[in-house]
Amino acid sequence: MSQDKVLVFIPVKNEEKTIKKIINDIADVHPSWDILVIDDESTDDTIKEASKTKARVVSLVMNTLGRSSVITSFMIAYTGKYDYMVKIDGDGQQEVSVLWPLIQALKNNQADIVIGSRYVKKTPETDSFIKVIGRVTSSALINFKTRGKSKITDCTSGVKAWNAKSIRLLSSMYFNDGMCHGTVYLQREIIFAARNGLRIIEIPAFYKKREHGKSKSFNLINMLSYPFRFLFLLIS
Amino acid sequence: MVEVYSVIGFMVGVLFISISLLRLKKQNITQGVFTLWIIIGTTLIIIASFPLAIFTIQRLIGTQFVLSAVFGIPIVILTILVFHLHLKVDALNKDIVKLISKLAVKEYFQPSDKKEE
Repeated sequence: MSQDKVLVFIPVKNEEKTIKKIINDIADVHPSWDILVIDDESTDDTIKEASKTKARVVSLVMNTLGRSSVITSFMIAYTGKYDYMVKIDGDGQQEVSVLWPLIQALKNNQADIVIGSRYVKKTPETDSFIKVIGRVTSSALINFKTRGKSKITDCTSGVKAWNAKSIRLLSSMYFNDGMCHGTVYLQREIIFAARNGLRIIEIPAFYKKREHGKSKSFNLINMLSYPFRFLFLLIS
Repeated sequence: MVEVYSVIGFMVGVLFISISLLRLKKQNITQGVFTLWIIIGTTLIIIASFPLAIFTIQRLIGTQFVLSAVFGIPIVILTILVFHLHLKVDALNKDIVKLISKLAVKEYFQPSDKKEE
């Protein structure tokens, strides 16, 4: 029996202090998995550090605020005929050990998309109150929007896995709309997937406090515009 | 007597038309953009040459004051232009994101021989 092809996707931007360890940790435990690092124009030594490992590093020619890295990862997974793709952030907040349970759930055909959630099992909170409230409320509204087809608690989780069926469907969705939903793309993906019959489940994931750098997706403008973007997503 | 603002308006109109024609000669302008700026240039020249025409326009659109017509019409036109440009920029952004993704995928499957120092 041939071994399943697994692609690990790590989007990075200025993660020189954490990226090498994450890649090496994954490669030590899962030597057969391909690791893809997509760099969104880092200004530090992220590319240099990632290049010292077994990971394939793709450097985007222009910073598109993370949009191109998502599309690229899905296109590579689809074109490369991967059976599974798993995503982990390059900031070192998530335990590498969560990747295997995600893939295992897909292999057992429990779901088409598996999300590593911070709220399935109570774990120490690492984020601000406002972020948690936004995350939990958004997840509940997404479940309402999909009429119960999704039952998620952590819609913005950075650790996630897809099987070949969901890769095919989502790569086409992302490429066609050019990631026009910007910062609410994770939420949009769940709604789209649930409405297209993909099964989504969550498994517990433990997040650590960010030790280096700061969040790229959380700033004042994003925080203020998020409710409007999310509302637009819900009514569109 | 010819007013200064008429001369300026006339010159700006001529400038728009000249640049549009020059670009057309070099085939460096699209038909839509060329038409738009020829219309704007011609309108400027007409209003600068016949300032009293603005009273006719004011009567036609029904504003109480001439100044309302003088400022109101360009504001409406500029708002439409901004809206049009915003849509174009948005579409271009989407295309750029797709293009960058395609380049990255190509780089992944067919890496170039260029090695970075």
